[in-house]
Amino acid sequence: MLRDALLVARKDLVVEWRSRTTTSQVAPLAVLMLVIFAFAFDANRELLQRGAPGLFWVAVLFGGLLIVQRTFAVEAEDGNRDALRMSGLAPSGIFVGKILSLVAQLLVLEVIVLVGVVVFFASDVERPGLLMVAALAGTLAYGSAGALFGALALGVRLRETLLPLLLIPVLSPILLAGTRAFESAFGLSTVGGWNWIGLLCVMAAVYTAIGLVAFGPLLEDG
Amino acid sequence: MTATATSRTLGAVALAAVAVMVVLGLVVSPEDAVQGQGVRLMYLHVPAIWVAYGSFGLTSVSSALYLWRASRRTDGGRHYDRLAGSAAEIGVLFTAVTLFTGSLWGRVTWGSYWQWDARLTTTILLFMTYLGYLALRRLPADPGVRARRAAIMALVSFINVPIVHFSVDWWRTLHQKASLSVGRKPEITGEMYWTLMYSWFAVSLGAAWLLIHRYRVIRLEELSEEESLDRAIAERRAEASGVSK
Amino acid sequence: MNNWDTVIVGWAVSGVGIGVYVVWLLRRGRYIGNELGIGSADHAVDPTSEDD
Repeated sequence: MLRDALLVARKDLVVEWRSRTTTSQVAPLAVLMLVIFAFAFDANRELLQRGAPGLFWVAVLFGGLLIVQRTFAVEAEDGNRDALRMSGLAPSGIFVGKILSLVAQLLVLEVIVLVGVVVFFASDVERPGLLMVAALAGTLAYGSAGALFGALALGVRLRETLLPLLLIPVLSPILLAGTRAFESAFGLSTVGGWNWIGLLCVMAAVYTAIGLVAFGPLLEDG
Repeated sequence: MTATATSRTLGAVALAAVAVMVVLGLVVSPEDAVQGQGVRLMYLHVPAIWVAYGSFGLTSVSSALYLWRASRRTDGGRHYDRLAGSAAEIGVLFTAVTLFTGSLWGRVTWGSYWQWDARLTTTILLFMTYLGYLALRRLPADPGVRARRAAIMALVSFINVPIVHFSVDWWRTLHQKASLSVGRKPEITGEMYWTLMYSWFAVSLGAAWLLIHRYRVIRLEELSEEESLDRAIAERRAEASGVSK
Repeated sequence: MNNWDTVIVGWAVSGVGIGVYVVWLLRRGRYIGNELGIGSADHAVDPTSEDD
């Protein structure tokens, strides 16, 4: 299963590498969002600094939606889905591969957005270890939820508007936990960031578990 | 036509029960010592959310039954799918009532239309989640595909709601404000308690009636879909045989 | 807006909202029923039938 997963992840990432959409389109878009936040908050330095953890995750959330869309749009193209079905790859492996691919792309996005946040909002990364683990945990949660919902919306024509509507309620607790953990990492609060990381890991586990079971049937459909 | 003798009786009883509820809630029951007349909104707000929870619970159970027990039925489990869909729609309707009356009640009690406490935040996300579910159900697809997809989404939503509630609750308790009474119901005793319980009963009857009718309309929609499909196939066949003549 | 007004608005809007839904539902049932030529005042679509 793991080998199948790595195969699928590699395929996705090679496709992404060739087009470089995440770095050339999604990341700039997310950074643009940071600029727009500055406009929205009247360039109020204190407000932006206090809000930086949340704004980071908002930018990542919306940028991430585009990444999820794209990752599954690739599969929707002619015959790809049938090819996947008949490839003999274990569906659970394909699912995990999708998660890995999403996680990799999301991490790239997050690094870029983090640089933006540190520069634009004068954020001070007081606890980098906490930050990195929190980002990883949040990304795992996002990736597994994204992979599950991407599969759910597979083959659906009105995917672009529907997927965000379905995904955001599920991503909300991820944003909540990620922001609280980042607040701790930026030295903006003393509340246990590690507890929130624990919650993120639980979420990642739950969505991965559901996806492992559901992905096979979802792939068969349509 | 979606009425039977049974559902007509239920409807009449429900209507009468609701009429009594209106009288009890708006006239007979006393005003609250602290909230005054505002407490009367509670008699709609609380039963509405209880009914909504029940409905969404039904959606979840039905969806699970669809995924795991469908093979045992001659209809391929479509009964469960219809039940899940109708229950979700009723749930969304009553969650909307909950949010609306709750907002007004909040205005009267705390002076603001909204508070970011655990319960309210979870409720708005609950509403959005099932709105999304209903949207997913409406997408054109092969009925079996659509049903399965919806069932999986329902189960994911069922898991997501407690996750959201837990996260938000934890979040808000870490941010305790002076006004801790946010979201708490008033001390209900005596007449108010019975009015509340009765209202729950009346609203439940109404919701059950709605559920039955929504279910039947879904069934009709399915039949209608099947018929247009049959007609299209028949037309195609007629064309084909016409050409080969 | 005093308390009593708010209460009335709350109940009225909720009632009207649900009423609109009821009307929509019943009319939709009648419309599709007529279109299909099934169901009537005496015989509705049986929700528990397994005739598929």
